[in-house]
Amino acid sequence: MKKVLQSILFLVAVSCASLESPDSSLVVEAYIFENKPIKNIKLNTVSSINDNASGEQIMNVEVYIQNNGIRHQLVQSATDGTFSASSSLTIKAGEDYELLIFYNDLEITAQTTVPPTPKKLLANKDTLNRSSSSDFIRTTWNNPDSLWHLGVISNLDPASKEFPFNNFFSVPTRGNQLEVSSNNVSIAGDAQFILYGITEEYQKLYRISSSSIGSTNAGNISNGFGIFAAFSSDTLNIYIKEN
Amino acid sequence: MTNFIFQYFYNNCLSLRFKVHPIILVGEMQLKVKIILFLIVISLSTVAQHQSNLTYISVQFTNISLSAALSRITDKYHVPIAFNTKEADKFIVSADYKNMEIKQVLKHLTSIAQMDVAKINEVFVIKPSSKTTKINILSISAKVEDLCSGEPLPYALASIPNSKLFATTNRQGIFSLIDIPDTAMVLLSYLGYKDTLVTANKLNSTIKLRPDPSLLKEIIVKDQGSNTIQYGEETSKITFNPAALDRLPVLGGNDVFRTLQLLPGISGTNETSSGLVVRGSSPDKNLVLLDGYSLYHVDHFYGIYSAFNSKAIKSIQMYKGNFSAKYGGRSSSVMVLTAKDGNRRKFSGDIGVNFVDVNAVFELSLSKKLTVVAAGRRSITDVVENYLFRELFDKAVVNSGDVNNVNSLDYKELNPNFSFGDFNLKLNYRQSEKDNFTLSFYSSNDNLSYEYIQNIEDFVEYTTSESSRWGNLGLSGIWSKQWNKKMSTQAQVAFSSYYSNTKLEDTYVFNDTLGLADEEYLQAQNNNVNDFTIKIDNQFQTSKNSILSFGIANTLNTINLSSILDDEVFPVFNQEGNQFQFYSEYSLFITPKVETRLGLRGNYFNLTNHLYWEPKVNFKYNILPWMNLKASWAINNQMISRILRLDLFTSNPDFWILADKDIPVINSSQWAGGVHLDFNIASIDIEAFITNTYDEVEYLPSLRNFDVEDKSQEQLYATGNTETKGLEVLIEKGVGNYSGWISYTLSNSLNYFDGLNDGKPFPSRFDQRHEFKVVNMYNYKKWNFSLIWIYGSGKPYSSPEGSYSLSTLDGSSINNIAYSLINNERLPDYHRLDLSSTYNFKLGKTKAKVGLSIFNLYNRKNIKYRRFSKITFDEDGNLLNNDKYVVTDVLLLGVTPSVFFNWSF
Repeated sequence: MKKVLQSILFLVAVSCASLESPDSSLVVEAYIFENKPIKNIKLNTVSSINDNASGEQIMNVEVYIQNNGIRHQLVQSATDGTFSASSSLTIKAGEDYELLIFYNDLEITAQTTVPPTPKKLLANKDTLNRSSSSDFIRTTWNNPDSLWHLGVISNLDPASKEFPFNNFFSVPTRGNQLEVSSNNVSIAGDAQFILYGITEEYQKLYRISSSSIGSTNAGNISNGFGIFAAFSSDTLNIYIKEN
Repeated sequence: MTNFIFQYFYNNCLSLRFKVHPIILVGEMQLKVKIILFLIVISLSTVAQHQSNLTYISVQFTNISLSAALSRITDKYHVPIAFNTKEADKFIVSADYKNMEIKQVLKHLTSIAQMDVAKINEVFVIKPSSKTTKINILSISAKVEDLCSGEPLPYALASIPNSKLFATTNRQGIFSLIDIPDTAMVLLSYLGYKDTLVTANKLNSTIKLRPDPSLLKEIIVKDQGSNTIQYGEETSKITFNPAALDRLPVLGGNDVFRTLQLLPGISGTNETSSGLVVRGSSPDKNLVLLDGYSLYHVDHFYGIYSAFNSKAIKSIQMYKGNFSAKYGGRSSSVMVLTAKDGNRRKFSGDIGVNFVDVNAVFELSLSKKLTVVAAGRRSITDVVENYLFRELFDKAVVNSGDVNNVNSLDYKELNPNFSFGDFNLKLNYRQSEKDNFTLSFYSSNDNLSYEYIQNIEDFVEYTTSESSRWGNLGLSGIWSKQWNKKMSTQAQVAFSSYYSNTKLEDTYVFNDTLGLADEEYLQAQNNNVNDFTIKIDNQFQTSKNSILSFGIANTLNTINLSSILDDEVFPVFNQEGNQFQFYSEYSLFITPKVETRLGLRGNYFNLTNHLYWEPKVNFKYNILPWMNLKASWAINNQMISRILRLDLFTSNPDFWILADKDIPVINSSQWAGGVHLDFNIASIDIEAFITNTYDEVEYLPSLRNFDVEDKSQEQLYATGNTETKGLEVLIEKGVGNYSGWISYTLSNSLNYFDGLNDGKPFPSRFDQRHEFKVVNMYNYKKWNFSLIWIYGSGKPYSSPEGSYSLSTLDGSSINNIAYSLINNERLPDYHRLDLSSTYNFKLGKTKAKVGLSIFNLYNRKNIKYRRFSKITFDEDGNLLNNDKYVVTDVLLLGVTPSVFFNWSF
């Protein structure tokens, strides 16, 4: 909520920026998750500022994920244009993965390492009462190496009311606890608290915005825009009472 | 053969070395023609008799050779005069004769050159004096002061014409010249004062210079010894008297920075006085010293006015680079301001009012030894609203994007409360001719507050409000001691403090049906910089053609920065840095035509535990009487810099930071060389420069959700280098009712940052290829008119390739603008025309003037910068399905008239 509200009439002032300079207009959104198949990798063109048109899907492109010296080609969906890999490729914590895209004689690359799985995720209780503004669930985990984590709430009850924005506001942290406050949750019913182990590149997405003078382009794509990031996760089931 | 003829006639007639004007030839032919002409002159005595009947003449000379003066008399009155050109060229004369007998005039003029005048057959013959006088060598020391007010005149020039022996007065107006002939004439020059010639053996301990109001009617750019602006005296140096400012177009009140911005190498197209962009360097690389204390914030009203009341300032010295080893701590340029000492003769004052402020200065003498100057300026914008303030506020603050989250609003909707002011106080105590004490105090402040409420889509009432204040405080005590004719010392203790406190609050009150709690967000930043300096400067005249300067200084800087974004505090600095500095500089005339200055400055900085050396070399060769060549090289270091921060949407978000183990010390090397040509009707100055600046700091992140625990420097700052090359040309006409100049700057400034732009160079923020400025001033009776035209080629900006959106794990998305290149595009060219007229009149025994200025006469729509705004809601406040971006040109001031009135007594 807070993040969206802060973007109200957010001024984007650019005159003399100090910025990184990718050479193509391709945007990558590639997220891979520990122990889950690769899917929903999106490739688009940059949107035009002047006519506010959305970016177009990229076609006629070769996309690969490389792991342990083996290159896996991704397949583009005919329906939504996203890319996915065969089930033989398993994402493992601690391993390195490289994304390779061959597009218009350009080689667009990015690397990521899957963060360790969050350890000893616990909660002080499993029910949050939204009618009480002071109620919260405190989640804790082990994080002796000050790794980056992000907590989110996933809605499991399709009948629940959901605010037009996101379910729960939080920011990446290097700490070992997070409070899910009733003020910051906008859903009710059965839900999951998911703690993601996130990469340095991903947390920078939250940190760095190109919205003002002196900023850099967020992401880690060489010769393009966007991000290739890996995640690990652990989950807690919770219940959110509305009244 | 020539020598034989020469000797023959010398021994048997008169000297053939005498010349009859106006014919000038050269070489052997010249001598022959001279002989013939001389005989013709004698034989045509009848004609000459007729011509010499014009006994009384009126002529005026200013700093011209005796030869030229005699020629002028010949030309004007057709009086035959024979003289030795070579000898007469050695002497410079300044005089004003009205209805004076010609022989008296000639006697007076030639007495300077130890010559006699004889009239032979109606021809005035100038010949060496028959009297032989024994010449003694002596050393002199004297104080130069204003005849009317008794104020000492710092940086006045005392010179022996054509000998290239000269000295400048120190801050207390004292100069020394050693080992000079007692018959030598000492020429004393000061901006805005009549030149005065005094024979060395008749020199008093105090020399009084007469102010010349006629010189203040125009800004005259001349070589040393001239009037209101000195240019070309040495590499990259400008000196001027702010009293000349009131003829130039103004925005509200007079402004010292705006005059400097009309000269080459200093940007005149940013329409602000918020520091000077000198040779492509950011304003924080310009050291600003007022009576010895450093000032860290030099503007009012978001840069529209400089923070200095020009009425309180006596002189300004500007070094665009290659400055003396006496100064340090900045990598680009130095500006030295000296406040007035006060009128010793009578109580005097000056009061002015314009659409933006009221200002006044009062000078009085409390005793024979103690004078006081008090000057103040206060905006009237919070008391009397007027169109000029509204226009300035809209353009400079609101629509520049400097106000939080408010786009395309105007003054009325914000209803701001804004004010600024400054105050100068200076006490000067002359204990004796050799001891002087001054105490100088300065303060300035700006205050802004406003509140704006907006309803969005019936579900939230959004309120934004800001309360900000910033300013300077300065205090110094200076003791000046003239030990003897060769040695002087100046000791000073100086303290300055800069503060900037900004607070911005956003409040969201949601519709009750949403069941959301109200939210409040806070952005605040407090930055305080303290500077405490103890300094001792010495000057020792080691011989008649050399001076040794040396000194030590210690500067303690403390900086506090706290920045709050919502509940998080970021970043926080509590820095304390100490610089111990020492320097020595040796100025020497190797020959009468070749002047050198060698300097070395050392600076030990405790935060890096390193000693930084700064060698400096300056060279000047007077190749011809009207032409000199100049060159210089210098290394500079800068330990404190101002960081541009645009992630906070408050009005004054930048902050100062000291170098340390993570933030590098900025280092620069400066090369400059050029030629100065001085003709009777105009002077031309051409200078080329190369400045390499290393380890510049750029602040990277736009803060969105910062984790307090991570403050790694690489996320905050990028470091790199800048190379700036340029050529500056100034062509000036400084004499007569019409005066003015043409200034042209060609420059190229490139940034080299390894981590940015793929390591490829890109244009720096201040890169501007061409800048062309024309200044015209005309005096007609009681009227002064001025017309200025400024042209600058487009400045760079980063044009984004487009935008893109990335989904996040929590189901929302992050929008970004896609930049491919840095500063890859140019804004349209800048140009504007300013006009000013002033009418001077008397109010009883006092003087007054009233004037009208029109800024940007033809209303050129110049662009300050191009902004890309993300729009989340449409014009009716409805939430858009997808964010959209709009491109907005933020404009600079359109046509802006202003009126001012001034009364002085």
